Amino acid sequence: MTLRDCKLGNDVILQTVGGTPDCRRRLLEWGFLRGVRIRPIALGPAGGVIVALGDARVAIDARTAGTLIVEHPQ
Amino acid sequence: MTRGGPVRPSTPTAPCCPQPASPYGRWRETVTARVALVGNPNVGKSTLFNAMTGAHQHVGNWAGKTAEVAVGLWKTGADHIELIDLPGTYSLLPRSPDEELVHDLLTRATEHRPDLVIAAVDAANLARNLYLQAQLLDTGISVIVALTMLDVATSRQVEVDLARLAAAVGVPVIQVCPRTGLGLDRLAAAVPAGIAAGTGPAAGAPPASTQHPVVGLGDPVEPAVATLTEQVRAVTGSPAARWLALMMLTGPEAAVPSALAPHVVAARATLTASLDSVGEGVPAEESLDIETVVAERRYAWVHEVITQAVRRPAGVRLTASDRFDRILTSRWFGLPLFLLVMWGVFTATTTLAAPLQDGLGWLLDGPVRAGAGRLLGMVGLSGTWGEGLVLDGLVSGVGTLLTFVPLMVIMFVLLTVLEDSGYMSRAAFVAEHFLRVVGLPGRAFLPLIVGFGCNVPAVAGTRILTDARHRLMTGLLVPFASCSARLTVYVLLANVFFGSYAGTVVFAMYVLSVALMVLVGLGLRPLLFRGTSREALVLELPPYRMPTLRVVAAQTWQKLAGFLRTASGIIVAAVVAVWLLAAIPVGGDGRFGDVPDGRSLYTSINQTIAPVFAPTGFDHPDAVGALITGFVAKEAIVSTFATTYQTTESEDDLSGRLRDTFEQSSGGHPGPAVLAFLVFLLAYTPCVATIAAQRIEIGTRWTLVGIGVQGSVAWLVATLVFQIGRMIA
Repeated sequence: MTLRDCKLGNDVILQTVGGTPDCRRRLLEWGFLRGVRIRPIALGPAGGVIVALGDARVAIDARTAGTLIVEHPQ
Repeated sequence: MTRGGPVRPSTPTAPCCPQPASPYGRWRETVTARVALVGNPNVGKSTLFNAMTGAHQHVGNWAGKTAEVAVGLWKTGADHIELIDLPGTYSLLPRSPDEELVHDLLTRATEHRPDLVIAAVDAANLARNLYLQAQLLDTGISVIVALTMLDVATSRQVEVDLARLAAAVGVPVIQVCPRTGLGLDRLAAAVPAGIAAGTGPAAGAPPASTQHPVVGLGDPVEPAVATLTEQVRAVTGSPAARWLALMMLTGPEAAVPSALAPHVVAARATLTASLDSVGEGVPAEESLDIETVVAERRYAWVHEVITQAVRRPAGVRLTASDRFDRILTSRWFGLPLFLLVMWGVFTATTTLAAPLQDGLGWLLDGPVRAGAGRLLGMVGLSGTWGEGLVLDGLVSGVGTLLTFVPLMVIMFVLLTVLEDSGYMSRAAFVAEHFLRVVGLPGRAFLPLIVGFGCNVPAVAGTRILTDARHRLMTGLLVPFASCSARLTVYVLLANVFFGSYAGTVVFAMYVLSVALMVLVGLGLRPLLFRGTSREALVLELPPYRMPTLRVVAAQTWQKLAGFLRTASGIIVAAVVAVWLLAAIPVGGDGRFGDVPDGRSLYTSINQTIAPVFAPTGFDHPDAVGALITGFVAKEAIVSTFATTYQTTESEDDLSGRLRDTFEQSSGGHPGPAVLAFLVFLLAYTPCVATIAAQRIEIGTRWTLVGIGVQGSVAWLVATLVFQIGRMIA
């Protein structure tokens, strides 16, 4: 599933980061790495997602959120 | 460079970054070192800069760049340090003009390379801040960490051990509180040793590993990086050779200069083969690539540092900010709240400012003018052209300038409050799709909305945008927002010419205003954002905070002083110039300052220019004269018509003369001609104060481009309206 499909408030584990090379590079630099635990905490009016990544809160637009493949923790 | 476009690594001979004007004149000779402030956005870096430099600073565009930097003098005991507040950045890999400036300054071997970097690091968000720190260490520059936001970290039960953090990172760490100035003395005391430990701009030699820590990337990356670093150093001589080597391996391919291309291709091939063998048996979508491995290993270092120096509760803990966000950015409340805030800003910059502007206007037109008149009388200038120059030129010009002051104060206070409270980032998220069609982020909505009140604070409001290209695009679009000064002219002419349809005509002007912003934005987009695909929105949301009076007051004063310093000359000069044109006689009638009606240089210029407007149907000197006055200020158009027709007593008389003017100029089609005039009025340069504000925000060159674009669009659309209208009529 992608980050767009997640239930709010539940932690998920990031599997792959997609998108354009530039967008992917930026997400990697922000710490969106394989195996990282993130928690979607709010949804925006246009389908974007706000996630908690450690202490940071990051807003991601709907299209980019759709390129982040996540899974539920084991 | 455009986002995602080529990143050109520097060569030692490339001219780099001449500085903005010196802010500290007489101290110039005493500057002993150059220090740059670097950090993520929203870490209190600029507040720290203000606390360090006080009034000794200058904000301006770095010459040859669109990026804006502040340069100031930091007095630390006997030393005078030149402090550069570089734009906030998440990474040294440049994607925007702002980030490119940071990159160039830190990696190029020029005289402008700082002796030391003070890295502002947010204690409440250490992981991502330390990632930039890892990159800074790769540049070989000396670094001191200024740890901010420790109060926020403590409130989240995050405990940072400063001594352990310094040992783990390998550089000095000083706790600072930019809002109170706490820790600045210790920061100043650490600077001399920090500079002494560094390589300095002239040395150009690699730092000794014992002095300068770098983040090791392990096998097989580190050996490949080490080899390429030597090759980069041999070709470029850059003191930041390790960083450049890493950038060439992990950045866009266009980042590689041709002299180094074979080395980089070989290093990439070797490394990719090694990583493939490491990842054998791993599914293709999870295969390792160089960028991912480098990012992962830097973060491994970051987490090692955090493990050693930080004690914190496990897992993600939801804060009050998170709970607010569930409501304030939600599907149901997000947009209404955003629109409410925009409405509040618009109302404040229009309704709230109006009585203050009226009061200042009364003061200037009444007591100040009368006082100046009496003074002139006492020195025997009463009734001379000197009296006209002072009262109608200088006093009137200063009055025009002062009426903008309440507007600007309100705008700057609101900008600071919205930014400081953390709401502006949420607004950008909530409204992110609004302006996507023209390539602008959601927060550009604020200046564009404010523009419908007054373009001057709106142009100043573009500084809410973090990317220089977004500031430029918004600064060029704001003048197409139909301000309230234009409304008075619409209402006058629409009532005279369209009777009961006047309301529809005025409404149509606002629709056209929005349409022009979209169309011009679409036209400019490929020019300003060349080669960029639709940009993803990945945005940090800082926690909500209560803005402090001290920060709001300091930033408002700093911005207002900048506006007055730059705008006052242009506005006063323009008002005086119009007075002079009207005071100079042509054709031998009258004398300077006492010209019979219609015999001044001003009228002569109107007559000369008028034929240009023949296709628009309003090539009458009176109509053109009103537009020329309107270039100075749209408020002046109605009074220009009244003065020209000398009809202050009777509105009917004014209507009749206006009908005659447009009847004559349009060959019997006054309706389409007036519509064309209104369209031209909407689209051409709003006023000199807007030009002055644009010059501050987007520079002289782009301001001139803007004037050209506005004039061309205005003429073209006005011509279309008149020609089509004439055919239909």
